[in-house]
Amino acid sequence: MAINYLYPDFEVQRNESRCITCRVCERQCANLVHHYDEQAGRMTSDESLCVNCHRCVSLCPTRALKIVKTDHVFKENANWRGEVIQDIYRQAETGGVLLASMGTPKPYPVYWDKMLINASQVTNPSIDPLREPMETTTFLGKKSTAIQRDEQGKLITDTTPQLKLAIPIMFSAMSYGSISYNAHKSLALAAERLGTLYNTGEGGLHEDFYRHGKNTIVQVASGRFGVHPGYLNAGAAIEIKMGQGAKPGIGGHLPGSKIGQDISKTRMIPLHSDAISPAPHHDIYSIEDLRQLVYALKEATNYTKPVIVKVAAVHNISAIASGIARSGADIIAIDGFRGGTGAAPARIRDNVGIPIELALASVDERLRAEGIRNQVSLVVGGSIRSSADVIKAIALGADAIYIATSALIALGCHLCRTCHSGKCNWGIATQNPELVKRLNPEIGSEHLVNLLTAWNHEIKEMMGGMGINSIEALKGNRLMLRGIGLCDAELKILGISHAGA
Amino acid sequence: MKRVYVNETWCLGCHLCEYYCAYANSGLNDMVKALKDKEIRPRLTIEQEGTISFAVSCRHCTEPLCMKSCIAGAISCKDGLIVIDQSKCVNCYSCIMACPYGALMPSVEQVMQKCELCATNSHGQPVCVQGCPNKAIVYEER
Amino acid sequence: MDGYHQHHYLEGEVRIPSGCAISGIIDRSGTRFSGSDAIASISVMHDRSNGLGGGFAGYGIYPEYADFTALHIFYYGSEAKRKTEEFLEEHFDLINLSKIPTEKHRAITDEPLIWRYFVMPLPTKLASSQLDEDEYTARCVIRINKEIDGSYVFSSGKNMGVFKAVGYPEDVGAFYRLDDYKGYSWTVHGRYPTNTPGWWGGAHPFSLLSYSVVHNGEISSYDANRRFIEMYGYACTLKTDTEVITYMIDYLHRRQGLTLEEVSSVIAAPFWSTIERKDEEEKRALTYLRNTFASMLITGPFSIILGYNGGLMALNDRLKLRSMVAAEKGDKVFIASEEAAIRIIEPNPDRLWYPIGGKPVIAELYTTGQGGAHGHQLPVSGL
Repeated sequence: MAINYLYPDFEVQRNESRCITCRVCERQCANLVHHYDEQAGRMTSDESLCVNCHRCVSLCPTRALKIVKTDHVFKENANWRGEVIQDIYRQAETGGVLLASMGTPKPYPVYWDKMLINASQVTNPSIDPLREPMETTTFLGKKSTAIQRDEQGKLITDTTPQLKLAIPIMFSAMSYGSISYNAHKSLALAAERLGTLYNTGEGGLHEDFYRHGKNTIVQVASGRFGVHPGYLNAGAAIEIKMGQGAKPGIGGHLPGSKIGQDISKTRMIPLHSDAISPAPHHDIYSIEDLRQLVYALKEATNYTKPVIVKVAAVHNISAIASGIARSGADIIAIDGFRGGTGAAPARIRDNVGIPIELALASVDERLRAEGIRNQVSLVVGGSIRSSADVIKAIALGADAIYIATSALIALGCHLCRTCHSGKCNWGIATQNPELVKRLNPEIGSEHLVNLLTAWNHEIKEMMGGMGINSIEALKGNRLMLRGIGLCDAELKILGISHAGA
Repeated sequence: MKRVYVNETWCLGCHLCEYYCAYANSGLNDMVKALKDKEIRPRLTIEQEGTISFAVSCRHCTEPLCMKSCIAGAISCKDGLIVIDQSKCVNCYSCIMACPYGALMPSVEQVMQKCELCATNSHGQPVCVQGCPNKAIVYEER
Repeated sequence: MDGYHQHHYLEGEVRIPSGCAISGIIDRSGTRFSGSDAIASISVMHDRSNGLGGGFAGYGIYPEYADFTALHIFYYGSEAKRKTEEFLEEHFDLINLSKIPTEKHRAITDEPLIWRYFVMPLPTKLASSQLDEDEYTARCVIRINKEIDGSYVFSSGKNMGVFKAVGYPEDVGAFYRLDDYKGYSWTVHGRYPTNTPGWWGGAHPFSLLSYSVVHNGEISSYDANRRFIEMYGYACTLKTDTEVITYMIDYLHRRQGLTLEEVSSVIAAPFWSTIERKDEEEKRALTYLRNTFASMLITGPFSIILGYNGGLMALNDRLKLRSMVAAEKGDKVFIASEEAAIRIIEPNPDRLWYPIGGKPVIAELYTTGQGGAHGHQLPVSGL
C-alpha cells in the first residue's frame, strides 16, 4: 500500500538473549506474524499482523516474547482519541460497517464493582461451610400459584416442568459456527459433569451431541437454523432467542466462508451461503405472537420442557419482561449490554443496551410489584466475571446466571476480539480444522469444571459468611448488598442502600 | 510399564516436545543456556505430512531389536526400560538400522542416544508429556 | 420509598435485630388459666431481655365474644382514633368497644391510647367484596396500619388477644392486669433489641387474625422473604422478622391450605440430602413444596412459637441455632427458651425434651383442632 494511515496497535517484543529459535511462535501463529530468517539465524516478526492473542507468548518455552501497546501516538486529545480517528480512516478506506467481536470494551460503569456484600456478626452467626451443609441446588421453571390436592388429600406435584441445577450457573448460548465443534464438546462434557446445562446457540445441535441432551438447552432463534422436531425434543429446555445483549435489535451473522459441510448440515442451510439471522422473528411482531410460538413449542414437545425466552437488556426491559411472564414462558433470560458475540457491528455493540445489573434489579422489582415473580425464573448474563458477581446477581433477584465469556476464557481465550476473522489461534472461534485441533475437549472440559467448581466453593464461603445455608434465601435479598460510590438514582434502581447506611 | 503414547488427533506439530526433550537431556537447568545457539538433537522427533503430525520416540519394545543388534552390548533392558550405556557404544549404527521406528540416533557427542523416559536424567518423569500443550502425548500403561 | 416506610412513629425506619426470650403454655383439655403462669415463666428469663419490649398472646380469653374479632389498637393522638373509628364503622359492625384496662406501672411509660373493639364485618360490605371473612378482616387491618398515621392494630383474632408494650415482659403483664384474664394457651416474649425502638407496636408478639408469633433469633433471609410475601398483599411495615414470619404462615396455612407440618417443611425445609433419603412419594412432596415456595425458606437462627385458635406450634431452624425446650405434664404442654422457665411453673414435668431443629412441636386441644387443612386429634408431635 502506498500510504498507510493505520499503524499497528501492538509491537512484538522478543528478548533476543532468551530466544532459542525453537520456531513454535512461527508454527502456531495463524496470522503469520513470526518468521525464521535462515540466513540470519534469528526470528523476525511483522507486528502489523498481530492481534494480541498471546498464543506465541503462552507457548514460548523461555518466555522470550511479550506483546506491548505501541508507543506510537497521536497528539493527545481527550475527545479525538487515536482509536476514534482510526475508525474513520478504516471506514473512509473500505466503506464498510465496522465489525467487532466479544463484549464492549468501552469504559462504562461496572456496577458489580460498586456493590459490597454483607457478613453476619454478633447478632446473627455466620455459618461454617466446612461443617454445615451449604446448598446451591436451584430449580428453574414456572411455580404453582395454588396448592392442589387429589381425592386422598395428597399434594399434586407434577404441575410444571422444572430444570434442576446443582449450581446456579449455566453456559450461555454460543452457536456452532461462531465457535468450534471442540468448544461445544468441551461445554457439553463440562455441563454433564457439573450437573448444569449448556446452550446450543442459534446454530442447531450437531448430531454427535444429542447424547448430551439432558444437559442441553436448544435455541430457536430468528433464523430457525437447525430447528426440527427431533431437535426440539433432544434438549432439556427450549430457548427462544428474541435478542442478545451485545447487539440488541439485530440478528446474527455467520460469513459463508465459515460454513463448511458440518455447519451446513447442522444448520440446514446450503454450503457456503452466508447465514444471516433476521432482526425480528418474522412470525413474532407483537407480544401475542410470542405467546403463540411459546405454546407451539410446548405442543411440539408435549409440555414436558420449560420454554425460556431470551431478551437483550434495553430501556423498557421491565415492561417487556412483564409481558413475557404473561405469555406462558417458564424462564426469562436477560442479556446485558456487556455480553459477548462472535461478530457484531461495533457501533451497536458499544452503544446499544443497558447494564445487566440495572436491568435485573428493575425487572425483579417490577415482577414482584405485579405479583407475578413466582411465575417465571430469571436467568441473567452479560459479563458475569467471578463468583462475587454471581452472589450479587442472586441477591439482586436472579435465580441463575448465564456465563459465556468467562467460559471461553477458561478454554483459553485471551480476548483479542478478532473472532470475526475466523482465525482464532486457540481453536475456539474458528472452523479451520488445523486451528480447531488446538482445543482438546479433554483439557477444555476439565478447565470448565475446575472454574465452576472453584466458583461454587467461593459462593458457599460467601453464603456462609452471610449466615445463609441455602441459595434460595439469598435470592432477591437486597439487604445483603450495599452500594459504594453510587448516586441516589443508581441506588434507587438497584434497590439497595449506600454502604454505611 | 508406563510408556509414552502419542495421539495424532491432538498433535499440533508445534515441536515443543523436541525442545523440552533436548533441554531435559542437556544436564543443565537453564533452558536458554542449554539450547540457545546450539544444535539440538532431541530423542523424540516430529514426523509430519500435510496436516498430520505426531512425535516418534522409542517404544521400549518387549523384544528390542536394537538390543539384539548391538555388537558392543551397550544396550540393555532394566525392568522393561531399554537404556544405552554410552561409554560402551562404538558407533557402528547397527541399532539404527535394526530399529523399525527410527527411534535411535547419534547424539551431539556421536555416541547413540534414545528416549529413556527421562528416568536417567534429573527430571524423573517424561518431560515431553509435560511440555505438550495439547495432551497429545500421554504417559500411561496400556 | 413508599410513604409507610417513612413514617416517623413506625419501627420500620431501620431494621432492629434483637435477641430474646420466649415461652408458651397450653392446657389441651381447654381448661382456662390466668396469665400469671406466663408472667412467672418469662420473669425467670429476665436477663435475656433488656426492658425494651415485652408482650403476651392469650387464647380463649374472650369466650363471651368468641364469634367476633377482637381488635386491639394503639392510638398516638386522638386524631388517629377518630379516623380509625370512622374506617371501622364503614367496614364493621361494632359490637362492643372500650379502653383495655391497665394499671399504672412505674416501668411502663409513654403509653399510647389502647382500645379494644369486638367487631364483625358489615354483611353488605362483606358480600360485595367477594371475600371470606378472614381475608376481609386481614385486608382492613393491613389498610389501617399502612394508611392511618398514628394508628396501629396489634391484635385482630377471635377469642384471643395480644398485649404488648415497651418494658420488661413481667412488667407488661402487670400493666395489662393479665392475672385477670383466663385462657387455655398463652405465649409470651421478652425483647433485647440493639436500638431503641421507641414505640409499642414493634414489641412482640406479632399477630394477624388469630395467628400470633413470638420469635427469638435473627433471620438472614429476611429481605428475600419480605420481597416475596409482599407480592400477596401483605405490607411489612415494621421490618421485623416476626412480622414476615407471621405473614408467611398466614399465607401458607390460611390461604394455601397447607397443614402445619407442611408449613414447617417450607419455612424450615429439610436439607436436599435429607430429602434424597426419603421414599419416593415423600421426596416428591417435599421437593415440590420447597421448590414452589423457595423464597419462604427461612435461614438464620430462629425459634418461634406460633399461637392459633386451638393450639401452639414451636419450631426451630434446621441448624438448631437457638435454644428451645419442651415439656409435658398431664394436660399441659410447655415450651420455652430455657428449662428454668418451665420448671418455675412446673417443677416436675412428666417428660422434658429438646426438640430437633426443623421439626415442629404441635400441641393442640383434644377437641378437633383448627390446625391445618384436616381436622385431627394429635398427640403432641415432634420429638
